Amino acid sequence: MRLVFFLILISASLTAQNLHLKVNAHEVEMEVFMLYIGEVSKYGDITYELYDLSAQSSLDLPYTSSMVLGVDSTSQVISSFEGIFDPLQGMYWTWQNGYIAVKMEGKYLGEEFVYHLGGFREPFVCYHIIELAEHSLLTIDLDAFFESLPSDISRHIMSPGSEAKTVFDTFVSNVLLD
Amino acid sequence: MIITLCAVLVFGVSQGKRWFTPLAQPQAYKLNPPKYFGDMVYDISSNPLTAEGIALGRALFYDPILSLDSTISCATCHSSYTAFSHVDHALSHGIGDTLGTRNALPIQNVGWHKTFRWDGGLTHLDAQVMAPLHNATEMASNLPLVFKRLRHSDYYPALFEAAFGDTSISTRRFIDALVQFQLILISNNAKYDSVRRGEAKFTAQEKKGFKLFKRNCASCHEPPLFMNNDFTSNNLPVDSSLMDLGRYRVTQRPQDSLLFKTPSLRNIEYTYPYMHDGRFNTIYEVLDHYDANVMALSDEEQTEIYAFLLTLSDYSYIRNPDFAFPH
Repeated sequence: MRLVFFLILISASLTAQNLHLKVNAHEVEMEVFMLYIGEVSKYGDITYELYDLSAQSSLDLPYTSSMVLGVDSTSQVISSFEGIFDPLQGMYWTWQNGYIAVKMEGKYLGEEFVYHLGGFREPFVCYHIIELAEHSLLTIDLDAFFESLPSDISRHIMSPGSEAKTVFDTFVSNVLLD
Repeated sequence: MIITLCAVLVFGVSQGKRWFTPLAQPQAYKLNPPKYFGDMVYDISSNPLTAEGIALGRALFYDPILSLDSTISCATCHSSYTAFSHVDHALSHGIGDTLGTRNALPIQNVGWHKTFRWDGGLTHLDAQVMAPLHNATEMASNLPLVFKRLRHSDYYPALFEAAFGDTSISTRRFIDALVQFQLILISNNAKYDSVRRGEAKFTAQEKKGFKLFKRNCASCHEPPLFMNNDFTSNNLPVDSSLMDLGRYRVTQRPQDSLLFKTPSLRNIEYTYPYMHDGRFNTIYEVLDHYDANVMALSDEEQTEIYAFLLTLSDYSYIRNPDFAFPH
């Protein structure tokens, strides 16, 4: 049985020491919403978290000066296959290497969408660095994301490539800092 | 109290009694590939081989419970008797007689491969393990289902315990075991290898064939592994029913259209049909194709290359009882 989330405005707020991540949405029936987010240490190491809307309370985000959305290419190719990188999490492509950066499934304005966005090969890399500076609120605005998608873009994208890159770029452009 | 405990242990040992059951340590397994193969690509320190790990991997490899309807195993498309290829099948078959889009590549010397599958979509042997398990036209299965079956089986928990110290079944252990078994599948005992080791000599025909091979084929099929870990055009027109554009599927770069991974030619005698879609049934058909498009060989020269290619047949590999179905 799949859980269905009806997100109206602020649907999820991830309480953390210093950094809050929330998801805004109207008219979205979100069945699946998962993404990899990584905290970059001052030494450049990345500690990844898997944000799963259906298990939001499990996520805690300590403040760092920069974060990443998606998974770096090294971790894509040489994986531990454990913990949040266990393919059992449903974020691993099996017909090729790599992890889905953002997984969204549901309906927008009554129309079904399935977006499995990711990829680590140029020029379609789905990996984004966020410099947080002094900001402490990270808002993923799904309303704006869907509104700003190109009208001719497919609602079913499950492979890396140009379309996935377009949708991913639209997604990250709607990750707002406050 | 500590002194008392020590005394009990010492007493126990001195009386020849066993006070506890010591954990059996998995036995380390050492690969012994020929030096001329060069360094393995796979980092074996990340997954040290053990006899127990290999035994578990072998059991999994031959077990159809990995597939959704428990009808096909890895060995269905990778038979040990044909160098772990799917002989006589142009395209691999999945559950319910579903037909794939590519010819199953043989499994041999995989520790030296940098990429896997005809399009190189997988760049690590660990990742390759899961591809056929999830593919809808192969096993069409999934890890949670497989793990549930393994946990409820009569013998897998014990095999996992023997290999890894306890009965826990995880993705990491599942992958490690299957990889361990595949890493021992080293083919290095063909006549070519005997010649290389100075134990045999090519016939005059084979020798001429090797010379021709080096001039016409070896830039892609580089000895001693007879592959180059790269992608090349095989000059074949695309099959309109399959529309397989090879490497392009992974990179989406126009220049990668119709490039396919260069397969190893070791054991080519056993691995027919040939090419990514299995469109050629014989080695001579392949030679004719390249003769018409790339090379210009006389019939005699084709025969000489053919004679050399047969020196890559490793009968001891395809008949190794340690690689066959575990009884």
